[in-house]
Amino acid sequence: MKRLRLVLWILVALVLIAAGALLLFRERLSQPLPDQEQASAIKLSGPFTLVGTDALPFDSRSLAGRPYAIFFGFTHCPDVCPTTLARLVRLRQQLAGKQPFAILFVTVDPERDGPTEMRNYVDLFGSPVIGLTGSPQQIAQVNKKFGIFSEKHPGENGAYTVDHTATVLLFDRHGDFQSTIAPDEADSAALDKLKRLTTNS
Amino acid sequence: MARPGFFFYRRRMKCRASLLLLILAASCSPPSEPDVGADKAWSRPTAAREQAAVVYLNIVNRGAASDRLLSVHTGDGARASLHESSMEGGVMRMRSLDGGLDVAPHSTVELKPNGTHIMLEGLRAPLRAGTSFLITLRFEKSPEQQVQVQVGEANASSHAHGTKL
Repeated sequence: MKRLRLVLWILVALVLIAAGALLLFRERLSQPLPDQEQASAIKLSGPFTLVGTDALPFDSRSLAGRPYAIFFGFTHCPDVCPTTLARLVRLRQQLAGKQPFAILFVTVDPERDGPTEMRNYVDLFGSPVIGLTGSPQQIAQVNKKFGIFSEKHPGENGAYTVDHTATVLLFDRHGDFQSTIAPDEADSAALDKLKRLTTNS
Repeated sequence: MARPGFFFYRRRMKCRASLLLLILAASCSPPSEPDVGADKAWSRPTAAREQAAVVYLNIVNRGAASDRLLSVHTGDGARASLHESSMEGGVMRMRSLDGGLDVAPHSTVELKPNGTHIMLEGLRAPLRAGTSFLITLRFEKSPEQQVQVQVGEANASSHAHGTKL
């Protein structure tokens, strides 16, 4: 009887520990990845090939020697995508005198965003933004390379939006990952990161 | 004896009636500002008709009662819907607010980038920077409101100089 009681208590303790661990783990999962972890998560990033707004292949090696900010989205996205691209353009304008960085916008919706749609869209910003699309397979590969999540979410009448990672990834002139800009990060913090990107690298 | 009384009574009635009219006039005649209104409405240009457009604005409730923005309508047949962008673990999700948007008493609800916004689909023509268009907001209690939306530059981040109708 005593033994049974002991075993039961041990079981209770184990369940409590497991529940605690699960809670901690879930909390960790819901936190955005710190820069370092994100860096290791996207160690694979390296040369990639997509399709430019001229419908010709775009080789990432053409960026060699130039830092870049890469953002994934889609042209039917009314809020977060134009907000993020507009912000990058604005921040780049504030870095007068520094070596400018390239802004890359990769679609997560290649079915709707062909080279023409991408060209018309990036032209809106009045400052060079490199629009990139590709076959669904190419996009899936690049998403994986950069650790980008994307998933269609059905709307009304067959319409859909795409849930996707909205973090901007920054790469230095050697093509090495340097840091990220989160959508809710203050402009001043983002500007510091871009300054570092364009001076130290 | 009865006459003056009757006359007096009539006069009192008249007096009361004009007083009532005065009160009514006082409550109706000034440009009665409804408790719930919207201002600072702005949008971004779009490249193509197929592209969804956005509207951001402030809804101001000066009254002591809560209200709710039920729906948004455009003049040109474009579908307008309330959406909310939310960020979790770096992933952006956009969902429609089917139940409308609550506006608490004495509060301002900001529809702004990376948050709650109005999405327009099926525009007759792309939106051009520097132009403006009208939308109608329908509330649960307050009268509907027409708001002029200013289309800013693509890299605008807030309302520049839109006006309230």
